[in-house]
Amino acid sequence: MRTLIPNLRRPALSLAAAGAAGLIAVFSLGQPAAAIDIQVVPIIDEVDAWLVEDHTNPLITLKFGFEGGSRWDEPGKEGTTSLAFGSLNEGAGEMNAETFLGLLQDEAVSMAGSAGFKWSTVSFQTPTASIDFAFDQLETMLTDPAFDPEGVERMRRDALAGAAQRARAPGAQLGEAFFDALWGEDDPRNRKFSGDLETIPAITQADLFAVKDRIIGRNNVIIAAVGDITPDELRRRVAPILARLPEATPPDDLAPPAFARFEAPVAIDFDQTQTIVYAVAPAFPRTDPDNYAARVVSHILGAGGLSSRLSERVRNQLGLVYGINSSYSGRADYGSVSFNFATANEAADDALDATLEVWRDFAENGPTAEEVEEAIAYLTGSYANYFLNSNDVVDYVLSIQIQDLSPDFPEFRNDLFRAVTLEDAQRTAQRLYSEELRYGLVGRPTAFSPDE
Amino acid sequence: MNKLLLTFAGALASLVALPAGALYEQARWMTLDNGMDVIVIENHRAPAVHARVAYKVGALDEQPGTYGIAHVLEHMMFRGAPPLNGKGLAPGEYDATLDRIGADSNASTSANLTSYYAWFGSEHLETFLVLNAILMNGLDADADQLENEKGVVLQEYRQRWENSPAARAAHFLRADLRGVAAYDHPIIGIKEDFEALTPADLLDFHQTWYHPNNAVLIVAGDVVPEEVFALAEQHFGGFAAVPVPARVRPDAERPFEADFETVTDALITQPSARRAWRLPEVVAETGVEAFRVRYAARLLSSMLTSGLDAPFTRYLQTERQIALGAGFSLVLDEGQDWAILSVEPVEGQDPVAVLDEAEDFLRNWLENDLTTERLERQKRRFVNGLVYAADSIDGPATSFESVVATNGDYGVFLTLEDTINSMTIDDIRAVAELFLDQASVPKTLVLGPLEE
Repeated sequence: MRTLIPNLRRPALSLAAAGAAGLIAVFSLGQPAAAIDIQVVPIIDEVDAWLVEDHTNPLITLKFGFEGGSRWDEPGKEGTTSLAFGSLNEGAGEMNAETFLGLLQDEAVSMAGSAGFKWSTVSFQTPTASIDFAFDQLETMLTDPAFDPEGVERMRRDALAGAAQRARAPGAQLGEAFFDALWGEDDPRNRKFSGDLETIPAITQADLFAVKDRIIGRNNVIIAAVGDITPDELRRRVAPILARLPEATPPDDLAPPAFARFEAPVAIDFDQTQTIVYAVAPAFPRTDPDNYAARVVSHILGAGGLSSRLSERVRNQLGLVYGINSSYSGRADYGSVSFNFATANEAADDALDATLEVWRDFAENGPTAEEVEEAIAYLTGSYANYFLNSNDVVDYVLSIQIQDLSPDFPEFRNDLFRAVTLEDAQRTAQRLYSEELRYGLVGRPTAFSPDE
Repeated sequence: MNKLLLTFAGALASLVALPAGALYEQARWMTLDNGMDVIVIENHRAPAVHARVAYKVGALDEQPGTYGIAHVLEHMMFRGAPPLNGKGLAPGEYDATLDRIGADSNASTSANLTSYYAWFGSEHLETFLVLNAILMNGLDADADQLENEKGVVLQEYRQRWENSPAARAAHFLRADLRGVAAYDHPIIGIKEDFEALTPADLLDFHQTWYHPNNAVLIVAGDVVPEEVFALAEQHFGGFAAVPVPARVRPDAERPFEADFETVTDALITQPSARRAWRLPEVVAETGVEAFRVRYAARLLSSMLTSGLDAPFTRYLQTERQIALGAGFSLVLDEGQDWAILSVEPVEGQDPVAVLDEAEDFLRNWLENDLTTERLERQKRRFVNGLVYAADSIDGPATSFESVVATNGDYGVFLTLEDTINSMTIDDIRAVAELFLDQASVPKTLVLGPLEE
C-alpha cells in the first residue's frame, strides 16, 4: 500500500454517527436546491445589469449581449460578423494584437467577442486584483478596437481553414443540405455564418468596423455579471463604458421559417461502417403554454440520457446504438423536435424502425404518471448543476434576459415544472410527436425506409 | 469560435485545471482503515456537488486475450448489481436513481483509471455513495445483458476507433513511443477480444480490482469534509481490503525507430502533422521531485506556445504565417517519456515543410533564447491565473484524480504556487536538454484529407 500524508485524522466513531444522522435518508428526493439570487443594477438609462454577487472567490465575470448578429452579413460577405467579433480583441487603442493580448495574459484577464445569429456577445473575466487595469482595457476594446491587420489576417486564415474543414466534413455537408431542403436556400437562417472560401477573402477591415458600429451599442445591450463585485462598483465601472458606445441600429424581425416536406431523406453518401441518422419535425415555440410540459415529455422520450425511452429500447434492449438522443427546441417564434443516432450500416433500418415505434407509441399514448413524476424530479433537481462556475452562471443569466424572463425567474422556475400534470404531458406528447418527420443521413445504409 | 480565442482560452484552461491558492486550505483527505482514500474539496459557490469514485485499473492492466475488458466492465456496472445491505440494482436502476435526484452522471475508462462520477444537488451525496458502494460490492454480469451491451460497445468502437483515423494514428504513435507490446491495444480494446468476453471474465476482473484499497472517492463542492469522511466510512468502511496485483508499467522494450507515415482519409478534415521523440527516463516516477520536473516541462511548453506573444506562436503564425497553431509538449510520466511537436498548417502549406521549419525554430530557441525574463513572465501569468481554479466546482476534482492516476502525492497541490515560484531557468534548461541532447531519432506522422 502506498502511503498518503493524511491532513486529517480518521474521524472518530461518534463523529461518523453524528454525520450520518444529520443527513437526509437515502433515495429521498431531498430539498429543492436554492436558486441563484439576481440583483437588477441600473447602469445607465434603460440599461440594467443583472448581477449575481458572490465574494467567495476574488474573480469577476461579465458577459454583454448585443442584439445583432450574423444574419446581417451582406450576401457575398458571409462571415463578416463572425470575423469582426472573433477579431474584436486583436489590438485596442494604440496597441497591436500581440501587445494587447500579452498584457491581458500577464494579468490573467480575458476579454473576447463571439458572434451569434441574432445576439452577439462579449465576455470578460478578471481577478479582483486586476480590476482597474481590466475595466480600462475593456473600455478601450469596446470603444476603440484596433482590428490590427496582422491579427485580422491571422483570424482570416483560421476562418478559411474552418471553411475548408466544413466543406470536407460529411456531417457539415448533411447539415447544409438538410436545412436548405427544409427551409429553402434563401432563408436567412441558412446563410453561412462563418463564411466560405469565396466570402471570407472579400471581407475588409472597414467591414469589421462597420459591424462594430452597428452592433456594439448602448441601446441594444444586456449585461450579466457574477462574482466579487458590489452593485455600486459594477455601476461605477460599466456606466462610463456604455456612455461612450454609439446608438446601434435595431435589427428587424424575421418571419418564422416554413418547414418543407421531403420527398426522400437527404442523404450524403459516405464510405464508413456507420450510418448517422438525423430527423426533424416542426413544433410549437417556447411561448406556447405547453413549453414546460414539452421539456418534461422530451426528457422522457429521448433527452434524458440512458434512462430515456429511446435509449432503453434502442440501446439497452436492442444494443443497436452507442447513443440515441431526441430533443425539443423552442425558439421565440417557432420550434422543432428532432432525434439522432449512429448505427451499423446494415442495422440502419432496424434501428430506425425501433426508434419510430417508440416515437409513434409515445405520440399516441404519452408518458405514464410515474415517468412524468420522475422527469420533473430530474428537471428540478438538476437545476443546481447550472451554476458550477462563473461562465455557466453569466451564460444562464444572459439567456434569461434574452428570453424576456424576469430576474426572479430562478425562484419559481422549478414550480413551473412541478405544475405540469399527467394530462398536460399526454396532450403535449401528442402535439409534439405527431408531425411528419424529415430525415437526413450520412453513410451507406443497406436499407433505410422510414415510411413502412 | 476562433483559433486565437481557443489558443488563449486553452492557455488559461491549462492553468484552470489546477487547484488554486484559495483551494489549498480547503482540500482535505484521509485514508479509511481499509485503504480507501477520500478527498474532499470544499467549495460553496453553488448548492451542488461533483463526486467521483475512481478505481486504479484501466486498459493497461488487461491481460492478452481480454483487451477491452476494463471498458466493458464499466458499461456492465450499470446493468444490474447484487444486493448490498438488502439493496441491489436492476439493469438501468443506477442511472434511473440518479435521474430522480436530478443528477447528471457518467463513467469513463482510461489507460490507468476507471471512474464513476456525477453532478448533483448537495443534499444528495449519500444517494451517490450508496449506489457506488453497491457497485464496489459486485455486479450481476447477466449473460443476456452482456450480449446486448457488447452491441452498444461495438457501436462505440466504430464511432471512436474505426471511424476515427486520427485517433487511431495518434494511438499507434503513442504505442510506438511506449514500446511495450502489452500496451499496444487501444483503451476500447480489440474487437475479437471484447466480443468473446464472458460473465465469468467480468466477475473475475471486478473481484481482482474493485476493492477499497484500490479506490479513491473525491467529493468537491458544497459539503463539509468531516461529514463526507463520516459518510465514506459508513458506506465504504465495511469493505475489507483485498490485495490487488502490482501494476507494472515497464519501460520500453522495443527500440524507437525513425519513421515517416502519412495517413490520408476522407474522415480527416483538418490537415496536421506531428513529430515525436522518445526521451530517456531521468526522474523519479512519483512524489514531489517528479511533480516538479513535470511542471518544469509544462512551464517550458507554455513559455513557448501560450499566447500570441509566445515565441512559437509569433514565429509560425505571425511572422511566417504558415501555421494555424503549433504545440510542443514533453511527457514525463511513469513509463512514458517523450516529446511531441505538432503543427496545424495553414491551408495550402505542406505539412512536412511546416513541421521542419517549426523544429528548426524550436531547437534554436531552446539553445539560444531560453531567458529568465520569459520564464518569470510565464510564472507570473501562471500564479495570477490560479484564482480561476477556485471558480469551478468540478475542475479541482479531476485535477486530484490526475494525481491518483500517476500514483502521486496529493500534497503537491498544497505547494503548487511555491513550486512554480521556485522554478529557475536551470530547471527549465535541464528539461530542454533532455530533448536537445538525449532524444531518440524522430518519427513523423502526417494526417491529411483525401485529395479530391
